[in-house]
Amino acid sequence: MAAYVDELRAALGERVRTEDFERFAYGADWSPRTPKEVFPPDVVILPRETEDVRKAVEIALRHGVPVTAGGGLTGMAGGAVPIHGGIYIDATSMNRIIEVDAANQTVRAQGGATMQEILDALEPHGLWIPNLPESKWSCTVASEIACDNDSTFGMRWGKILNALLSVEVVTGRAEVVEFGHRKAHFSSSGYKVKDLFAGSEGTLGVITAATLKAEPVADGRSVDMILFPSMTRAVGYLDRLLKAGLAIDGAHINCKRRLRFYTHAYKEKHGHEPEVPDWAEALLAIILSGDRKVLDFNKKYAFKIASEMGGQPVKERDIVESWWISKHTLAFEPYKQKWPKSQTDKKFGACDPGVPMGRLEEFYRAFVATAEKHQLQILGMNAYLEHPNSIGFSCSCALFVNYRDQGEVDRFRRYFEELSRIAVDMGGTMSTYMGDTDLRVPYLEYEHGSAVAYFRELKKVFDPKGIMNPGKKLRWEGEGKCGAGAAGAGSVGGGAPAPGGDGAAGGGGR
Amino acid sequence: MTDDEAVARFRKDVETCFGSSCNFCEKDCPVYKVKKDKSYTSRGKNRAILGVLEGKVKPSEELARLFYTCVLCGSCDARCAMENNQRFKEMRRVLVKRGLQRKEHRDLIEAVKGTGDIYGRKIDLARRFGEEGAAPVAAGGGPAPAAPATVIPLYIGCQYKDSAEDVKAVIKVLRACGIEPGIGDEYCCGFVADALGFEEDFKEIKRRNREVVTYNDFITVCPSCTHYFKIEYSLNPKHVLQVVSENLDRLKWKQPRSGRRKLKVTWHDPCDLGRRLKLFEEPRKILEAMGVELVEMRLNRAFSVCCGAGGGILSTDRELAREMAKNRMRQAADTGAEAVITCCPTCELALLRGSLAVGKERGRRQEVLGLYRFMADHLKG
Ligand SMILES: Cc1cc2nc3c(=O)[nH]c(=O)nc-3n(C[C@H](O)[C@H](O)[C@H](O)COP(=O)(O)OP(=O)(O)OC[C@H]3O[C@@H](n4cnc5c(N)ncnc54)[C@H](O)[C@@H]3O)c2cc1C
Ligand code: SF4
Ligand code: SF4
Repeated sequence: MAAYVDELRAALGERVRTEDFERFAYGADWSPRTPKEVFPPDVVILPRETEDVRKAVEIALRHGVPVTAGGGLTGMAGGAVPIHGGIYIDATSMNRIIEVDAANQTVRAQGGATMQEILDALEPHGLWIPNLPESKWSCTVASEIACDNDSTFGMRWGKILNALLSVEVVTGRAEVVEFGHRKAHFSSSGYKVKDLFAGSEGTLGVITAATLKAEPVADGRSVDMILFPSMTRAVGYLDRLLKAGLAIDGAHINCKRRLRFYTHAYKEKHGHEPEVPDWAEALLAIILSGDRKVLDFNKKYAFKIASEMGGQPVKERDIVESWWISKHTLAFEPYKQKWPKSQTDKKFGACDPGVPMGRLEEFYRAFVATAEKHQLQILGMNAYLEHPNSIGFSCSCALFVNYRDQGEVDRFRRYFEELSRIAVDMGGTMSTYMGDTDLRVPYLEYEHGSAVAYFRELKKVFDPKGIMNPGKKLRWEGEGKCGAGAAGAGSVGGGAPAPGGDGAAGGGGR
Repeated sequence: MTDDEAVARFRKDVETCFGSSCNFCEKDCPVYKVKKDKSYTSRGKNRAILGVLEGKVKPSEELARLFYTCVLCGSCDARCAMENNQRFKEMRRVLVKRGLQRKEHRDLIEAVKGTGDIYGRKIDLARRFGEEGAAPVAAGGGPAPAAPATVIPLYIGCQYKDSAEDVKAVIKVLRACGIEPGIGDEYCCGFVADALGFEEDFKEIKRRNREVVTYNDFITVCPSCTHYFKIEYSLNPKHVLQVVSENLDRLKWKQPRSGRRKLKVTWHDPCDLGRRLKLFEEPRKILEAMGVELVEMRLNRAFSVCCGAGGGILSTDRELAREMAKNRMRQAADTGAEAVITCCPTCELALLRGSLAVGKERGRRQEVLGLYRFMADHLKG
């Protein structure tokens, strides 16, 4: 047993786990990978307080051991997979709601509280957090920040930075630092260092608490779908609604194929796929909210403009409801939850680029062509609108990936790289909600050029020894696989990438 | 089938969980809620099996501890679309076959086989409850020669045998429904052997049970026995609450005196009664007919939370069981109900312990009541 594990035990007592099955449980997330590509950490810790995390990072720092923090392990690109072994911090064991300040409409929670736990705490106060992924039952607030998730309600409330007021972090220096502006909703004081944690993927420090701005729950909400002959027409329609002065909570432009992924509840009920007319190439899901009267007016107005612009509302409510269950309420019938059923033979695997406003249709075609080139089964594209009150796309370009077949998983990774590069070529970005993880390390310069050198320097400020989630976002410059065999049994994974290797080239570190 | 083949059968499902990884089962897993350790969730256990299949996790006493630290409550199945509980039970069988059983479990099973009773007692039921006026049942299930023709056998089960008050209450309520319960010899249904993974012993217990319990159509009191007779024995047991809910129009209940407010209660769904037998509405219908004010806990029916005493956990980790019971009672306390009502002997005891602890936390203790006694007390006449 490595000395650092003994030190962890001395500091944290029984909340240190080293059995093979305990470590194996933490060796993979939801990213497309084969069962051979599980990378268990050498030791898992279950902290209860920030001080537990600080002690663990201090020990790691002293011994040069990698530290990976994780939440629900539902990440889609391997962000929380401890590819270099070492210490895994299961932040979900820190899930206390610290304070709800209803008058100021803010909530402070430990980093491991799930978004649903935060919603439950806010509910009695008539408040909610609108920055929500579909995985809100599993996704923690720290992961929400660390991944910079996209949200079902992004068109009005954007991504998590719009709500993040302050964040407590244990940095790679083993120091506890609060970045942000306490409960003030904004500030011009100091540097906006807190913002660096959005999308930081655990590479700068462990997020142990966060203060978020909550929003009042509206009296009413409407969820509808409108069919358009093309994505371009759907985009034009949204632009027109914004010009008209409508506040739109959420807008999602699905291609026809993608709809099928959301109609699980419909199929359970009707025994067949919903029918969509041949001419409809884009299905716009649109969410509005407000006082009943305002909502009714807005909806009517939005429908009027839709008919003027060639849009046709979906009349069959079960189609819309089915999408909404999958997207937000998660009110699946008992024993009939969608996810395991939909991932039995192949799983959802996506690439997440963002492209400029006028190029969505063109990008969609590139997505289809790239998937076909790599002989991958297309699940479909959904463009989430994630910038408040403007048109800004987060494209979820999804495939069905046979995760039992190494060849197919490798092809998926090539598709992932190629599509990422295409988005950059179009003036867009490689990632809008998954982050870079180790997958994009080899080609990060393609988007960021010489800025990557600055990223590296920036990381050093927070993490001088490079121990925080090494190999993610940036190449790991550490030596050897820290902590190998620390728990006595050696790594139980499929073999980590070459030390100091660049992730993707390392062969399976994702 | 070798045990390696048995584990290999799980591959598709544990890989599906690996592929899905949604973690939606974690939220309400009562063990996870206390331990906050992902290896104890359904996903964690599925991963452990995957690890065994991949040769990365070794079958060991520690691995056996993982599989026994589960109350087999079925909450994860309700949140999923796979039969995880069945797999975990089968995994226990594999571990037992590899000699990784716990000594206290082996002792328990031997006691069951020796006496036909989960607590190793020998109780002459016909004599005991015959004195309460219950009719004897002859071998074969029909009424004994002296008994009236309407007698239907009543299978009491090990857990209720010693609780005369409950049995008397059941007899009273059944009679009010026009049914004459008959009581005869019993032999444990063996659910404990099955739940703990003693496959061969379970088969033996089933065989011996059928030598004693020879009838096919009968009334049952304990949710676990009912579930086992129905699923594992393919018999036609009818739970008391089904009988009562079918006969509600015959029953008259004492109502609160005018001006007095109704008692506010919440119903705890026992896992076997609810998730396994799907008897969700029957107890609620009965309580409503009785005129109490019924409020629901946040997690109810298919998503109800275990009392913390299932799956053999009491013989493995009592402290964990206590914490789980406290969590369930906290949910009950949140409803503002004066009493929690249930109808499983295990749940009742576990929740009672939980209520003492939560009562101290909240400054007000909720009563825990068994539905049979509650019904008998409120029957008019
Ligand atoms: C069913 C399902 C639906 C989904 N829907 C969406 C969706 O609508 N939108 C979306 O964007 N994503 C979605 N996802 C992907 C995923 O849920 C999100 O990316 C989510 O943020 C991951 O949360 P997690 O807690 O599981 O994080 P993990 O996978 O555990 O970790 C994700 C990243 O966060 C870092 N991290 C975790 N905790 C900390 C901490 N305390 N400090 C520092 N870094 C930390 C990890 O190191 C890792 O880099 C979905 C996934 C599933 C399975
Ligand atoms: S709900 Fe089912 S598929 Fe999802 S993690 Fe749990 S066991 Fe696995
Ligand atoms: S059966 Fe119950 S205790 Fe066991 S894993 Fe599932 S939810 Fe948890």
